[in-house]
Amino acid sequence: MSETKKMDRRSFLRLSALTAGGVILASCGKQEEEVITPVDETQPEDVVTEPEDVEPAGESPVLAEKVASGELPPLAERLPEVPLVLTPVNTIGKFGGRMKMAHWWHAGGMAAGMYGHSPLRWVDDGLGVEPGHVESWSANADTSVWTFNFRKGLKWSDGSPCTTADVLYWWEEMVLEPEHSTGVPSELPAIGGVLPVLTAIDEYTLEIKFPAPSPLTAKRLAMWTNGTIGFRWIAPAEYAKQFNPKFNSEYTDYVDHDIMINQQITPGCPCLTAWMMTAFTEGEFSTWERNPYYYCVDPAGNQLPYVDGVDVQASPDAQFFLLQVMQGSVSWEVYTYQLTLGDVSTLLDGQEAGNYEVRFWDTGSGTGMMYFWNHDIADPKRRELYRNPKFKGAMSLALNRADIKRIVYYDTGTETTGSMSPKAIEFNFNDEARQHYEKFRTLYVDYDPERAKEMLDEIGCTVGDNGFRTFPDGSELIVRIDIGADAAGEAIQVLEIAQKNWTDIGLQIVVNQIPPSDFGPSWRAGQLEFRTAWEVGDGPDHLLFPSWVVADESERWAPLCGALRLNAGTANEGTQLDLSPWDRTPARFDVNDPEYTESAIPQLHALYDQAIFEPDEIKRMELVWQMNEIHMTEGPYFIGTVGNTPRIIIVSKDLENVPTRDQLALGGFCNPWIIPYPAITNPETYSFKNA
Amino acid sequence: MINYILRRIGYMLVTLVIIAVLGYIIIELPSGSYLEYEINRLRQQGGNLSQDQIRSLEIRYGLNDPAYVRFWKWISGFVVGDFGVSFQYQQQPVRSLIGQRLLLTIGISTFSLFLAWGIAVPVGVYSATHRYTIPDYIITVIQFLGLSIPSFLVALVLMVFAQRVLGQEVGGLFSEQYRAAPWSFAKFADMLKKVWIPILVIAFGSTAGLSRIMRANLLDVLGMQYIQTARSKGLKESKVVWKHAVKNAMHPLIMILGGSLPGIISGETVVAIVLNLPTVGPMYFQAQMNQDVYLAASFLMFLSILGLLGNLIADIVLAWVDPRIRYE
Amino acid sequence: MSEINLTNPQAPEPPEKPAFEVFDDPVSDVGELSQWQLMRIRFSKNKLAMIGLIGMAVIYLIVFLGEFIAPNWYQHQNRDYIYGPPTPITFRNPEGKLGLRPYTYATTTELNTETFKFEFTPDYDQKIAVKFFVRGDTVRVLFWDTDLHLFGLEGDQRFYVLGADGLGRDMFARILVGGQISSTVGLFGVALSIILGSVLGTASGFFGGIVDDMMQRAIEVLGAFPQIPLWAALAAALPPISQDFTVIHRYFLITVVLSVVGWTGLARQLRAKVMAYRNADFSQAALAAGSTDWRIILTHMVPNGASHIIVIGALSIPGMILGETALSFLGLGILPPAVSWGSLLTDAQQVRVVVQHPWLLIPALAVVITVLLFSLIGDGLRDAVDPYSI
Repeated sequence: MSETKKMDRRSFLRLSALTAGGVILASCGKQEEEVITPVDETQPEDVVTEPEDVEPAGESPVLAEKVASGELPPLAERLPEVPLVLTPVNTIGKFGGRMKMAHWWHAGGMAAGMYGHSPLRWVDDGLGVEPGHVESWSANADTSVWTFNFRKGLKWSDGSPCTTADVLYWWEEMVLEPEHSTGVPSELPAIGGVLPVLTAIDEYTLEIKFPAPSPLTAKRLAMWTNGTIGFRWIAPAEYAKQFNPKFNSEYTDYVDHDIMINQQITPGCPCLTAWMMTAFTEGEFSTWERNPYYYCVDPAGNQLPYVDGVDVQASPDAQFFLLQVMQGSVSWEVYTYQLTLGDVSTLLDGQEAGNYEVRFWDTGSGTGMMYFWNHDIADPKRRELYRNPKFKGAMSLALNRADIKRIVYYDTGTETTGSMSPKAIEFNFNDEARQHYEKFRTLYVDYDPERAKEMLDEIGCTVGDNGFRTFPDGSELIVRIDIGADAAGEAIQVLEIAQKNWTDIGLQIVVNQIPPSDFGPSWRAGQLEFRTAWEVGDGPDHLLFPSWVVADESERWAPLCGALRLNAGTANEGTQLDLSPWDRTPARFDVNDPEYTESAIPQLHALYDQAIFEPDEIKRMELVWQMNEIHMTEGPYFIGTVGNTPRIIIVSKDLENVPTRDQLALGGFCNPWIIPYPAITNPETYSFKNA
Repeated sequence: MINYILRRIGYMLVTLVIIAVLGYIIIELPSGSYLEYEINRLRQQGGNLSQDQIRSLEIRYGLNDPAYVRFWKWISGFVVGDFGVSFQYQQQPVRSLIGQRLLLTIGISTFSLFLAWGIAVPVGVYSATHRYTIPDYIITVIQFLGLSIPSFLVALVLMVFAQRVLGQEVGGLFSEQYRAAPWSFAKFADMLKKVWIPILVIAFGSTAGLSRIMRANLLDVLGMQYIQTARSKGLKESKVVWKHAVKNAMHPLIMILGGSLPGIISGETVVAIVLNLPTVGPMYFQAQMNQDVYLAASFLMFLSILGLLGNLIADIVLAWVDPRIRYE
Repeated sequence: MSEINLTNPQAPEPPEKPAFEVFDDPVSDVGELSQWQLMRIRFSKNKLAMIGLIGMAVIYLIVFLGEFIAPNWYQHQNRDYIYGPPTPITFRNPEGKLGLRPYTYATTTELNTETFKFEFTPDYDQKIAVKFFVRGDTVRVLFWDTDLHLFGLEGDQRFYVLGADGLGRDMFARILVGGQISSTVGLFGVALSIILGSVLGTASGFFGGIVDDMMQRAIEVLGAFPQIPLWAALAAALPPISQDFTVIHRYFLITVVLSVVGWTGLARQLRAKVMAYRNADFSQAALAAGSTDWRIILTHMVPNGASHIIVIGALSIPGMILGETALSFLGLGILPPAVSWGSLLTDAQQVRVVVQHPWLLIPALAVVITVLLFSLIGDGLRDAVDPYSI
């Protein structure tokens, strides 16, 4: 039902030109400094207007009134010299109207769906990266120095100028300042302990110097929406200094500072998004009005957004949200996490009465509900078994994915062994890539309980006296699935099917529900065995958020290997070597521990370290393939069920310029937060048909 | 009596201190901390925190300090009106978070309380005095439905019914245009249109239980000798029932009423979640779940203060109602 | 009266033995029934109470034989009957004549990917007989494994009396088996709470003074404890689920702990009642007669609160049954694969269910009936115990 859109040669060239940011393919061998400015290619083929040289033309009547009365400066002064042109997916919209939303999340969370603060934006479901509030950018030959040109005349929502000083304020006062820092973003990582250097060449030119080649920088900067999800990247310096204890002795700590610059909880805080918050009560509602200084226009030169404002109601409860949709109180919603595909029939029935449409965009997930073992579990007997590819492959072959697909996912999505997103570049850009994906996907995807039993017999897990399989040494084997007690219904549903499947091949399965607060610490310490209630959401590039592929943190399938990486370069490295890895605080492997070196993880780490500095696109992909090969031979490290299931999208019939699935470049890619949906569909271009 | 009240107030203060200490210990009891929740959240958004960064967060939230240091920080702030900050809500002060919800919660709960008692007591009395009649049977059936069907289910069914059959807009307490607006008659009227479902649901469950308790205790009293005496003295039946019998059957109910005081601000948590009411209950619940310690501890204190006050008031009312009850 | 024999003075004949039982008590010369016997007779004469008692007995019988009565195993997942409605039956046999045997239709299932609904099409020409004592899934009834079921269908198709849930499991079977937990473990908790609350509350009210003060303060502290972290800490401290420590064991432990914390309400209510009659004549008399305080509390004070205790007991039952799932999000309630009415109702807590599959709400009916029957028993007990009722 869903197929991955194949990337054609032209898109690939476009992609490599944009993301390499001007680096000539190393196979050509040239070393001189060549700079290529990427071309704005936001509009699809059928819209005719030339995006460059668009003169500011129209503005909302609401704002026009304010200009007339002198409250606001005229349009040309409010927009930057070169505004960003966003092309609506259907037609030029009309000004006016208010959208209603019922958000599952924090009441001010709507900002998370808008791209305003981002220097760069993903387009075409991750096929390309284009300017955001940055007008253009370039890199030197080895991609270690990047230059970003800001839009001249860019302004914050309170009219104050937005310049590189605001970026430096964020970098120096919020990232580097030890009293205030919550860490360094992964876009600007410390390489070998050395942080990149940010310099403001002038008010509108920023230079970032990395200590090593960083070819992925442009893609990284386009991740998240910044300002709400991910790190801020930019903060209103003049406004923020008022609350900063370094500049204003009235304040003794940074608490108020962080609250006042947080546009999700402080109405009136300067921001760069299409709408700004004007009223807010935590957990109840938030109200948003148009930002008169928003820097985007449509191809006809009208200042976006079209819609005057948004009224958001917090609705954490799924059933409540459902009722809101059915009575027409929701203009559009993409964050429908609380709903499952089982709710679709009720939603479809209510379309007439509620005046809305149900659409489906692809989630692009590598797999929906999934399972993984704790690669670094403390008990050595279990560790050996859970690292044995035959054991894991058997468990995967025992799963009846067809049933899961039908019962839980209503025959949507694709059965899969479990991998990164099928829409990832490394799986798509040529035939070899596609074959590589198919190989991974089909590795253990069949429903073959007989073969599974054979495999278990082969490794010595034969059926014992009580009718269940044992460890190879004959002792009792109980596979305990630990699950946080607050796991979603979908997880439980799939689990009940999976449990039956595994019991049918002779494994003794016990489901242990534990309080959610206790789960993390126990997992990281290697106490828990087997985990579910998660999805592989990530893409579009294996390397941007590689945690499922490379064990670089301790929440996923190799917590102690991940902890090794997290502690590398810190004071903890190389300490507590006399203790067993599970007794260390935090539990982690050391580079020399046999439990680490004897596994395949060091190879994965090495390949990853090589890949992120590899400027050649093709070579990078080959390194990723090698990583996946390790997964296929030494793993699988996680098993999936059904991937790329649809995300339920609600759109009011009164609203247009909300894309349908076919209007999305790859059919949608909603799951990864690094490709922010709905931001990538430009909500600022949504408009009411009868405004 | 005055001595008794003064003594009770003294006890209250001591009890509050004990509750503060024990309660705080319990809140911090589960392993992991708010940091767990925050790290998870950040990781899901792609920020893989290194150990250094985790340490700096710990320092910022004071999670490195031993628990008693945090406790002291909180309680010394509490007594002067600074209730700490909330971790979940991005360090917004607890005071503003609680304050926003309190008024609304009190309003809804108090109204439901009055409604429930206003119905339960007469119905209970009627049920007891007209046993084995048809109205009594009907009342009994309704009471059983109210008792046994969970209130969250009633809430859901009622919402679906209101939306599909009555065509009403369900959801929250205010329509968009009134949410941020200051209180006015129009805002109040708008709220009334939506608040009837929560009040109905909350009152439905408690009315059933209360009326049955009233009925049972009244039946006891009606069998007593002094009721016979009053009747034989020629008193009107209604006076017998209300002036003599009911007054003597009220004791457990007074205790229940006193005990409902904390419920007035916490509200019915599960129903509030289902109906999306911005009341205190769900927030307290989430605070406990996510170990937002200052928020949870502050709620705990408010609820305890009210609880103790409620008990004190109930005890005083009891002595006032029944002359046989004397406190030494 | 016998004649006095003047010639032979003898002791007069002893008087006739009375016609009824005489107890050893020299004071009384009337027949006596003990208090308990009196109460039992009064209870059995109360029609409603007997209905309650017999009804509950029937319910216990049904739920514990549930696996035999239901045509399917309660865990059997049927991919071809997801959210299936109750099986339609007809009393016309394939020839078209009305009879006693119920028939159902051969049904095919399709997933409609446009509407996201499973569609069930009965073939009205193909009838399948509902037979009694059929062989089906192997289930465990009390202590034996058997594959015999009270009724069902032969062949592949299954009979769903009350429809199926989201995994195609038989709701009828699940309600019956779920009743095993709901009607027993929860009640144990209620009983424990009642006992603790009655005794301690009455004692507190009876003694008064310092004892009362201290006990009330302890109650206040206990009641103020924040529940969730307490249970979370407890849940973390419990051993993990295994063959020896199943969900049921864990739940049992939880009910005990819950009762130990939940008795405070009843205690305060009874204390209020007791303070009214602790100075009454009968208690003074008992004191004067030399009864110890505890004897007075247990035999005089507590029974006077019987009405209230009984009604609170009845009121606590739905709370306990529904409260089974209150702590599920912490891993402490009834969790799969165990099933109870509370967990079934929690799963049914969705708009989709109310609108499209309302048969999933039938466990609510089971709860209502159980509460009704227990209340009838409770009312009957109250009347039987009340010395002043006729």
